[in-house]
Amino acid sequence: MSEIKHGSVAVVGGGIGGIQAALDLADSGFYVYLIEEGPAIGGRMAQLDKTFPTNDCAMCMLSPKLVEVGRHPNVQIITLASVESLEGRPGNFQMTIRQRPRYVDITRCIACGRCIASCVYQDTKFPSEFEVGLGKRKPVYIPFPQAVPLAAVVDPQTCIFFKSGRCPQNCLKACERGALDFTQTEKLFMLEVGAVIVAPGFDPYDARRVGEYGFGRYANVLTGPQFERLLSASGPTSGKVLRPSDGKAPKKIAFIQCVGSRDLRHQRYCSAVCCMYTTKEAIVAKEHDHQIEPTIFYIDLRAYGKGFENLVKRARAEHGVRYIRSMVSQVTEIPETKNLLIRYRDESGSLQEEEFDLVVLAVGMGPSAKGQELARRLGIELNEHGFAKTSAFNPVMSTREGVFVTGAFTGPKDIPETVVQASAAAAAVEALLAPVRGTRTHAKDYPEELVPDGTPRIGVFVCHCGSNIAGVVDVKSVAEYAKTLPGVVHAENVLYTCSQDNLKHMKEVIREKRLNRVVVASCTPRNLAALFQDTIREAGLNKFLFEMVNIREQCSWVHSDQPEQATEKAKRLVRMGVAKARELKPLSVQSVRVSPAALVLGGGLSGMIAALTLGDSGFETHLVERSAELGSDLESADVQGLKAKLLDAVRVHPKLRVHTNTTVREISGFVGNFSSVLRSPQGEERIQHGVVIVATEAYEHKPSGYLYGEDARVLTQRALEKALTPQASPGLFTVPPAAARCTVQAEPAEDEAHAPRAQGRGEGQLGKTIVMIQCVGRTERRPYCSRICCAEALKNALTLLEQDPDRQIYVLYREMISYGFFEDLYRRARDGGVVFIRYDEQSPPVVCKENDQLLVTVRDAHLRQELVIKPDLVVLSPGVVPDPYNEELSRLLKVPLDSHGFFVEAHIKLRPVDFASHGIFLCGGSHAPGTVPELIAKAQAAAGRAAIVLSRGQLEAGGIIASVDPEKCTACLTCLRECPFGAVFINEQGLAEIEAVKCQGCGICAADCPAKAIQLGQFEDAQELAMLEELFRPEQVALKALTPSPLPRRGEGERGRG
Amino acid sequence: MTNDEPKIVAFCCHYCAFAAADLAGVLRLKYPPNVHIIRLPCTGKLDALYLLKAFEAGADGVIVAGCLEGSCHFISGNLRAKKRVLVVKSLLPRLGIEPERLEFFNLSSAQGDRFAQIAREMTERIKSLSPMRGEESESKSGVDAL
Amino acid sequence: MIVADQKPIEEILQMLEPYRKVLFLGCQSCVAVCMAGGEKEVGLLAAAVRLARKQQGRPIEITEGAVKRQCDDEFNEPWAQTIQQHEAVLSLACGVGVNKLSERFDVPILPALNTRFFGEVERQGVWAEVCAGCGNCILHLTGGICPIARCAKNLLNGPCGGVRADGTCEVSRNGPRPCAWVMIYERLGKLSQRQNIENIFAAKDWSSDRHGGPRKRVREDMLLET
Repeated sequence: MSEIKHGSVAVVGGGIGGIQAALDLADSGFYVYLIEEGPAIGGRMAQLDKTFPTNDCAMCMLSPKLVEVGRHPNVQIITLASVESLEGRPGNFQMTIRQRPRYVDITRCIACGRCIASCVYQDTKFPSEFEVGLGKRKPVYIPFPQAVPLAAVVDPQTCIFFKSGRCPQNCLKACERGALDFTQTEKLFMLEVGAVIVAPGFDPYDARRVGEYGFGRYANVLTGPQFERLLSASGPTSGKVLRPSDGKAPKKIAFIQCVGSRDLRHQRYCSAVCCMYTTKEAIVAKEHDHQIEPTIFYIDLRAYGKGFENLVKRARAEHGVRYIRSMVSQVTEIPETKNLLIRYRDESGSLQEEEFDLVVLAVGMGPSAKGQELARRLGIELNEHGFAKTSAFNPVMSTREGVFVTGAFTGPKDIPETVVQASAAAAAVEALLAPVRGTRTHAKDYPEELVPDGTPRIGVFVCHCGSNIAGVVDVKSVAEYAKTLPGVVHAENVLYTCSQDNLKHMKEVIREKRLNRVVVASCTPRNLAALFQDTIREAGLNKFLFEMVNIREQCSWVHSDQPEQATEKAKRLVRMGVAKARELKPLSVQSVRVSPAALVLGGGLSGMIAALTLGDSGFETHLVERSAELGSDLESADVQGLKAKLLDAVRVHPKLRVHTNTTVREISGFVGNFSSVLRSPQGEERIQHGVVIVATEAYEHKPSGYLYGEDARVLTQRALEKALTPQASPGLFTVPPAAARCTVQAEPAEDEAHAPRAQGRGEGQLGKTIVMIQCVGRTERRPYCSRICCAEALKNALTLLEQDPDRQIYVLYREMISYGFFEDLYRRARDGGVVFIRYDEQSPPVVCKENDQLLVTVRDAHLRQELVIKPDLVVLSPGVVPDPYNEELSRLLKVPLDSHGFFVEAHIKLRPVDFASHGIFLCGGSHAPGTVPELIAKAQAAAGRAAIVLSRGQLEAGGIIASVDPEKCTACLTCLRECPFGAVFINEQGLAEIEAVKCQGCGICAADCPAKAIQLGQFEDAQELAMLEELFRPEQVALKALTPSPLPRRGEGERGRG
Repeated sequence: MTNDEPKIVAFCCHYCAFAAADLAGVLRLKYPPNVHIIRLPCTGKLDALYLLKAFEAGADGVIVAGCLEGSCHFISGNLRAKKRVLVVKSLLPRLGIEPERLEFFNLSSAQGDRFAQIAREMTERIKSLSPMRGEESESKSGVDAL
Repeated sequence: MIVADQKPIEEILQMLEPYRKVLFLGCQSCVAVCMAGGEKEVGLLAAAVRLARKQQGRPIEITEGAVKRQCDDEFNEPWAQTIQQHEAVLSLACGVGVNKLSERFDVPILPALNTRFFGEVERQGVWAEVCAGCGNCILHLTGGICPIARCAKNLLNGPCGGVRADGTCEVSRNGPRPCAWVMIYERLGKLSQRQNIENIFAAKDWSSDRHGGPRKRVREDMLLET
């Protein structure tokens, strides 16, 4: 292993995938270079308004991640950078980076915007990349308000100085920080890394190339990404839906699907996300303006993910979104009104013309042009569609060892799948670089914490922020005022509180004046509080003896027209901050040792992958399976090779302990320290472990009706698959098996009974005419799309045709869910003569028998006619259902199941393989149905997330958490019942106690405790009420006398006690 | 207070409403300077007592702003807060205080303009009411009395 | 646990009308658990009263406090001096606490709560009456379901004719409630004790109930005086 040298990783691409991979790696002991082509990280997600299917605010989710990665001590963000070349071998790569000049020193820039305001261009003139051309920017600009790094950038393409050399360079003079630097030049440098993760994302398809829709020619034809900006509250119209041509609110909006996708002239594949993003945009538009009437023109409605079906239902029922199944042939503009005329054939086949005020084109995901160039430089291969080539069984591995690929670079996919792949790639890197974990990261050393004593001695630092605050607020008088406040022993105004020289000065003042509380009045605590807390900690103070007062975003910037009032407000805010500071207490953070082992529940494909990934990363792993054998879900022919490989690997792996015929009787503890009792025929065994991965699978539902179980010629797709002779591995299109395992013995047994009979018929005996029925039994009770059945049917249909091209195959379907590259299978099946008949949900096909002849009756939804087919074989796609064992696991682990029995992840977008309960992760079909590559990525991701906990050795607990005063607790159980994180338990004294590791610090319990026995650190009632009391205190009223008291003090608890 | 504008306290959750207020600043939107933000980790931390205490301390209006429903960083804190605000809102008229002086809002962190709008609208709304009665609070809580 | 409700704020304000300096004293036992009179409610009620009085232009000075159990002198004793410094005490305890304080102090003790019943926590925020404290328990015969408390008519030999087809009681003060005797019947079935339903209860001796006058319980062996 001497080759494995560098514990550092290059992550190329700063979108959500790259960010997630960077955070996962940095959190588990690797140093990360996050290389971004543009001036800020955030990628496409930053441009979204909301995300489907929950319509959560995209920026709300993303922004904390941006800040986190921006501040991470083990992540170095390199913007405006591209990869030149990659030399070397896994574990020891040399990557050459070319970094374009920003012309702004990001260590000096404070994003105040003065350079922008002073630019010779009075108006914003150039199309903003972030606003997808809908908004404009100047040559010097800040990419977007939440950008990381938050700094200006000069675009040499549009800057007059670079174009003509003649420019007064007002920006240079306006900058008070000397941050602008036009002497910067391009830099070439080399990074030594052990592995590379490539996440360049995708390019939205260029709608100009689909000429018939008039994008670029007609003002009121927009793309989906542009419409997203119109919906965004921080977008060019502040979230108002307005037509570009006249700024008026449109009423009728048409959304056209598959623009550039599923089209031989453009991209053959399905872009996988457009149906859902359009549905979301239609709903959000309607929410913004009730007058809007959205119409969606689509070919197939592909709502195949978790919660998608429900969103579409809501769009139709609650928001009145009109869905029309039709390909729009042309859009023409009515010159007078700039309205748009859409010509389409309606579902009855007649030609229609309809006028709309606005048209939104659902452009698909194209391969990224930069990604293609990057692939060439990195020496990795692309597939036929221009996306990164991967293997079915290692969906994040590129064709070059040590280089991993994730996200939309590997094919069209949505945010959670991107996040899953990012975590999977991070996990793969961890396994590769396990021997050098922690060699490039470093922990900071702090001096011993001073024991605070006596009266508060508060230091107040009032920031000018150049002229950002001082230009409006009289900061000097604010600082003078602060000096008069009780408890304040030092106050000063500082040009830039966050500058390195001031931070040093601050530490000196803390020592000299023996400060034991610090108040900084400057910008928002959301960005810099952690920096100041770290600074006072360096000076020996507990980091919670700090309060930040926001006099920039929430004062000078919003009251610049009323400087006097702003100054008065700043004083009030400082008075409040000081009042809180007087009441602050040091909070302790304890380290909790982590048991460095994992428990993986479920020995199917996902469980084995997760266990092997953890094992390869060096962690002892218990793989627990209820049935007698592992991998029993891997049944179909094309995964037998994989199964054999996995079983071998699991058997010989030194870090794995396999427990078959084993159930979990009990799990107690919390993240880092679980204790479980495993029960097997050999007896019971208690194990200690730091994490749990739930990896149970889903299996094919057992259909009822359709003569299933009555006639051997009616079988399921799974049974058919087994009956078909093994073919060469179809690679990427492998569809998973979704087996009946472990739990219900009766059902698989019956399935088995079917299969041999079908097999007994031999391939020639499967018959000439075959009907496949999709969405069998998909009813109110089981309304979700099982995601994999259509591709499975397509694959089997193609195999059947390969064996005998004379066969006539009918596929009866509701919606053809051949998302992504599965579209190729759909096309090949159609080209091969497979007849596809769509039926309506309300009139499912009927299978009956007449003189031993099978008859299938179906009402063709398109022709509106009843058809009767006489097949030799009927194949049912009954969908998949989760393992019923999930219910028991749900109870044991206290993790939630949805109404269909699938596990519910912590966050559908950004935490897809985490449970809300820390230290418990999920993957497998019981999270959501998926294909083999999707399940593998999810299993790797879960292992990677779990490895973050295990790699730490110690977990920090404490800080801003709730705690119970046992003197006051009456054990009313309110806190126990309402804690969203299950952090409260009743201790041996019969009183409520809060598990520090589990507490997230929301304060719900503290607010509702009827005995006032609970306080939340840093937000104690005494602190909050002190702020309120001081806020409007008139100047003439004498200040409350300050009584010296030793710290830590008893807080509210003492109030009113006799 | 040096002006006659209504005095308003806005309790904002860290993840959404407080971020929206920051964004209002970044966008340089204007709203009356008598709106003062108190940051809470989550509106779930908002004790109903803070609302009454704010009025006692001299506020003319109180804003509580949490995440959009379904988007609470702490799962359900904003739903708890909403209920508490409703209870206090129904109590206020019985104390002789117009319930319009207290309002709960859901905000995403991207809604900087909405925050500024709320701040302006609440100020206008309260201006349209007759001023609150009573002098500065004479009594203090038990700490002082004892 | 004893379940109580806070009196309407209007009634409380009326009670406090004559006073300018009042101690609000909560109780951290039953009434804290049922969210009517614990320290949290003391804070809320005090703030509300101060606000209302300020609005009326008649400010009031309120001292806030809470004791562990107002039904024990020892817990109240540390408050003796404070109590005497106030014109009145608003007790947020159950009626027992109000009585207890009144026995000890020569200051008006005002009830902030309406004491309701012995209750169980049905779920967070919902309390239900399941025991009437009649002093003569028969729960072993009725499957653990008390007909005295849970039958609107306190019937010992139910059900009566007022049970509806769906098993609910014709008396439905807080929305439809299951007939206690239907519940008893079903519960006895589960316990294989359905024969109990055949027992005819004799007329109940109500002397152990409060109808026999104020009750007292004495445990001789625990008395400290000789």
